[in-house]
Amino acid sequence: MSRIKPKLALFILFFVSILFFSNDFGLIDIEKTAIITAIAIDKADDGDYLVTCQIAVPESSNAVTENQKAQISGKGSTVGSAIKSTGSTSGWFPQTIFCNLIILGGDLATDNVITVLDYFSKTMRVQDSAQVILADKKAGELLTATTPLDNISSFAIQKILLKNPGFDRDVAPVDVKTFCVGYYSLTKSSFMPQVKVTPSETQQSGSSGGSGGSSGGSGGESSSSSGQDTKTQGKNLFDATTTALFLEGKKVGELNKELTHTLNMLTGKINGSAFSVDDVDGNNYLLSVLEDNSKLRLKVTDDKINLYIDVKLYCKISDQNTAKSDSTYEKNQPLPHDVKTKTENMIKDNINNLFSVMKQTKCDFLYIKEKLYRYHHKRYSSYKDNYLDKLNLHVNVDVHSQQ
Amino acid sequence: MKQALKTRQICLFFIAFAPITKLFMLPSVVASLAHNDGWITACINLALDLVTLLIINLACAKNNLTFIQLLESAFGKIGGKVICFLYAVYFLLKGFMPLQEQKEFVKLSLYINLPTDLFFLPFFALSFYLCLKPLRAIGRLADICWLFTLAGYLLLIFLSFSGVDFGAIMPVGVNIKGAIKASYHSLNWWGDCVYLLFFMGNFARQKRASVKIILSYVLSGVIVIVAFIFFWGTFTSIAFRQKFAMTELSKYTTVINNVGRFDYVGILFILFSCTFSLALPLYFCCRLLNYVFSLKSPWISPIIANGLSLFFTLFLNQRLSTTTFIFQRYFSLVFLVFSNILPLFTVFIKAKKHTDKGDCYEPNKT
Repeated sequence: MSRIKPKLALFILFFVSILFFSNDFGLIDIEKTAIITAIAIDKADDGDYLVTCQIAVPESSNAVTENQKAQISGKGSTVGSAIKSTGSTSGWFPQTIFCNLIILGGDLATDNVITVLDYFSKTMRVQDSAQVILADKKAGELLTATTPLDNISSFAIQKILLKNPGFDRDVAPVDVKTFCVGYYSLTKSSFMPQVKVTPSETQQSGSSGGSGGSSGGSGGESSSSSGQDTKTQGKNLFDATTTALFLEGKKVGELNKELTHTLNMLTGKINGSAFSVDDVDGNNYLLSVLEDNSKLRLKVTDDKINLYIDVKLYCKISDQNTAKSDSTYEKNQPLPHDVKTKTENMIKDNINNLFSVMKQTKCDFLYIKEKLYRYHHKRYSSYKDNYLDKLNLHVNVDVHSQQ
Repeated sequence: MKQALKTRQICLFFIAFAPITKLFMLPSVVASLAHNDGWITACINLALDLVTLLIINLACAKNNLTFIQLLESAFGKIGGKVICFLYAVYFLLKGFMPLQEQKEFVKLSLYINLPTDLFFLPFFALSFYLCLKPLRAIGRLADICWLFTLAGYLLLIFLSFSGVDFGAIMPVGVNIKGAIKASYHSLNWWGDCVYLLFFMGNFARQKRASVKIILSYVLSGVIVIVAFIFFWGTFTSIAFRQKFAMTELSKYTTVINNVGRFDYVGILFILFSCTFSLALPLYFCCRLLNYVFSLKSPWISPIIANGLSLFFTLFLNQRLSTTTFIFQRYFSLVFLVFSNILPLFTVFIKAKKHTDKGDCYEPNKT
């Protein structure tokens, strides 16, 4: 027995070592690995899916942008097969686990986009926490666009999608999981940012502040790119303030920048974002939101559904273009009455417009039907088909300054 | 004779090992049937287990005998051996499905590029080793593993908190029929109270031992109930498609997006405890086989139990969906009988005076 034990231990050690060294615990040859940072999906002319993968090639080189930015494309009758074909044609193993961005081509939105997104929601090869966006035109064009924001365009897009807290909330980001939850919910409604390429208004020189969401080796390179000639830098920016609305997976409408901001206010907190209030007694103001206490309450009776929206914002004047500055806004004095009234009216109008879009498109992006089911279940069956028509909106907006 | 375990270790045993196997595939199994009432499913199963645990505790308090001694005094040696053999088979079955889901999890999430069953085979080496150990080794494991279980669980729960829609569990009770059905289908994962049967007479009962043990089991149940609520609140309408719940919960937070998947620290903590938790049914199976066949060599029963488990793991490898279906549909009654119904009779058994208080599960003591 005492002789067998060490032999057995040696055997087990040998066996485990074989497992370890034969596969590096799942990591494969890094030289043949394509770390995919973003996937763009378009519809090809023959109806197949055309997938463009942006990869961060792990090479040590001082050449700045081009070796970090490469794309491989593949085609297939399903999204999965198209991604697989990118690896087959290039010889690179598509490592999609680091993919944080999925871009859908504009032409896909006319059909049910869930036929594309369902793959990402089910597979374990791609994180379903990846952000999903709709391209204004072709999805692949967003990846090829050069931008001064980052060496890798997908990182630049992620920067504008997921802004730091306390900054603007003018984009309504959504990940694959959230989109699918909306699609499979009772409302069958979802939304995602619609991104378009806009030419930069100012000349940029060099990269601004390192890479975005992933390592990819770009952090060290960006500093060396700062002295580059502006001709080699892209002059494109991305605008994601438009929100595309989906009902049963098909695009049914859009929200503009103001309505997207309002949507964010009603679904979350907009602390730190700002409102521009122009032309009040000839002055323009910039109000920063210090605290957002917005609430939605649904009250249902036998004959109607009342949705009470109470918006309570604490704001301060961050800037005003008066000829002579005074100290009032430094001390958080009460907002001028006209500024307060105009802001409240502006928010009220936006909320009313938001609901007009909701009724028009029947895209329940505030998930009112879910609320009806959850909190007024007894009356759900009588309202489930016509709840948007029976909806009475009661909006109350209070804009305060800090006391 | 000095008892192998202490009451503390029994309590920690339930906290460390009882909730772990229920955190991977069970939430999605339950979600597919009970939808938003999945947490009620967990409550039903917990209540069932608590009743059983209470009865076993009463039996423990009544006689300070081991389960085998109790059986022998009631049914004689042959009767006792028959019941113990049935329990050995039950443990083989009880451990099989959680083992398969762990194998799938390890294969699909840790070795995603080139999944192969080879990676899971070392588990059987560990399990074999554990099966050779006396009962006090389980107590020591419990002393260590509860920390890993709670640390991993709390980290994942903390990270997933911001993404949970707690309103999603409303309206409560609309899917109660589904919850009851799910409760029946998830009996394979529950019924850990049965382990107390095999700790009977092997632990030193301290003051308020029953209360402590029951409270620790309640805590292990609450861990599962909270996990179910978090799971449904995170995934709602697509919950049934999320095969491995706990590893999916925490990845939607901004911090994970920015920093990377450091939540795998928590997942690996849980996997550490889970490895031993998966080996427990095989461990108790071995101890019962030792008694039933009066085995002299300590190697035989671990070879039989782990060999059978390995054989069926490989044999049913490509038939996992069918196996899962059969286990949930047809074997649930077996689990109900052995986990919750048969233990109830222990309290009615009138034990004769037993002189030998040794550990009759150990090969050299039989």
